Amino acid sequence: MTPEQAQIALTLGAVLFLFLGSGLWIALSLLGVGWVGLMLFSTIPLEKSLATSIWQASASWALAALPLFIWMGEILFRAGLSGILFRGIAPWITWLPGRLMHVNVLGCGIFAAVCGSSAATVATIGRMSLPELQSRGYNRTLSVGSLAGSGTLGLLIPPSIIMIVYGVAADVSIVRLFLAGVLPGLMLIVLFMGYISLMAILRPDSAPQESERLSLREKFARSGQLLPVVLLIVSVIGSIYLGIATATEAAAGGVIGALVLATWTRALNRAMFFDSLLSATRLSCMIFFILAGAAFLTTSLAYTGLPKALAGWIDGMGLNPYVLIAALCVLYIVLGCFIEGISMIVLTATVVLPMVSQAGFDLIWFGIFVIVVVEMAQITPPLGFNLFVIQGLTGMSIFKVAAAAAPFFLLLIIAAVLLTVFPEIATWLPSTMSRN
Amino acid sequence: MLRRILDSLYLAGALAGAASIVAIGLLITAQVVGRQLDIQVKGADDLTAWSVVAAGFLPLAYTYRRNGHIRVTVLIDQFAGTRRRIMEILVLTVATFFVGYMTYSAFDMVWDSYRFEELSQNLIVIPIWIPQAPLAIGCLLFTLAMLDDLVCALFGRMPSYVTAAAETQRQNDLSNRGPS
Repeated sequence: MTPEQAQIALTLGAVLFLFLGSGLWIALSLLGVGWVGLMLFSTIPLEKSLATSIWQASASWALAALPLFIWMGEILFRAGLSGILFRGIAPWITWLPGRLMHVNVLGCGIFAAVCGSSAATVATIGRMSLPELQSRGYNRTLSVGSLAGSGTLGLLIPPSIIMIVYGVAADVSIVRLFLAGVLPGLMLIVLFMGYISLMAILRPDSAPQESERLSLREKFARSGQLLPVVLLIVSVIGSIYLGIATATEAAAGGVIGALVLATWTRALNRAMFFDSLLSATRLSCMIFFILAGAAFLTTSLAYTGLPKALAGWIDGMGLNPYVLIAALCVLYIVLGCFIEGISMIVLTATVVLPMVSQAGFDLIWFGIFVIVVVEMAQITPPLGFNLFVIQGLTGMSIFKVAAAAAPFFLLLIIAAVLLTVFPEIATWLPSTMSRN
Repeated sequence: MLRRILDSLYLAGALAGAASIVAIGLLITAQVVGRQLDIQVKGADDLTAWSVVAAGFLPLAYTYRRNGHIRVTVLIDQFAGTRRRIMEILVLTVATFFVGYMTYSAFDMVWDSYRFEELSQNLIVIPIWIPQAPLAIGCLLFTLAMLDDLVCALFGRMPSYVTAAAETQRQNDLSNRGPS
């Protein structure tokens, strides 16, 4: 890195902090830094490159998956699935130590597999499970904590909004990212359930006895209602895995499936349809705007040659690659206190991804790793979206919820370490994918 | 009166964006169904990509007024009352400048495409300014919405997104719950 480049990097970094800190919208902060960069450090005609770079980045077929998966989630969020999931899962887990608390984990896991959003996952499952668990006298801290932790599965288990954003930012296959998330997601489910069981064994009073005894037939009858949900999961993920459908096509199918499901639960009506659609419009508009700002910033930075220079500089320091990963992990956890996950990924992609791939890491693996780190950010104050949702559901203060979620934060760290030591957890499944 | 006109403009942008999302879904479905029947849906890929732009940019103003765009409020939340309003006016001024510049650049692009009669490069051959126009229109609505708020703030009212944020917090409305 030349001294000039170091100067540019410092200037633009300072401008970015100023913009973000003063409360300028994140998309506009990115766009603004790009603007300042081109204005000060190049002779490129600004007005020409701005709109063109935004147009080129936005008119993209792959991005079509984003609004569709968001809409699918918004429909299912309003489809009245809370009760169905709770009643369907509950009969099967009463034998485990911790009993109905596992509904939080499994319910979130199942809902995550049809919905790409972590907050919607928490809200859907928690709406039913928290009041139920409380009225039966389950330990409140563990119930709330396990819900907050499990909700983050929405990010990791495909379909996932944040994975589409990462895939676009890193220019890697969204289908492969989706598949790479499956096993780490299952691993987290096992970790979470293991922890709940352990706590329930250590403190038996945290999970009261269930008096209800059901015959096998009754159990199946109650779970029968889960079948349409399971079918939707299998068809969306299955069609992607078998290479029958691209992510975008699976998303379109998913919207149709979600509408059918909502018809079946009788939740679908005009108001609900428009409500879900407008909500999806707002959410996808917000994400598109951030991507647009980032697209311009990327163009602008490419003229300065900074990302390459920074990657070369880090490479030149001869760091152990694992030290780099650990440092990035800390960076993302700190950033996560102020910035929400999707913005964080888009914000850092231009600079961080060249470094990571220079250091020899697979970008699909890194995507999964980053998403696990973002999951941690979802349950740490002051800005953890899952905490806000649970605060809304229970009225508990955000710091109490965060304290309850702390053990699950540690489990996520364990998952990140496992993922680093055994990268195959993420990379194996996509490598077996059938090609057509 | 003016308030009503502006609000319906923002809403119109949102509805057009929502319609684009539905259009994306229909286009993809048509393509998949068409493939089974060995019918090629001509140019569906292009139409999808253009609908993505419309879906992303036309609702900018509406999303903004509903506090849908994300920003870091840790610092700015430390202020209240008049001080907060002054902070918001400063932020809004900078924001209006950048959005205004984006709008100028977008119209410049559309105008260039129109002037030089540029055509789309793929299966459907139409003048490229047509699918580019929603980007410019969306940006224009966004600039309008920001100026709208800037004027309100200068006359002593809180900007729309601050009110919307407070409303969300009051209702604990989950529909405005952040992206991830």
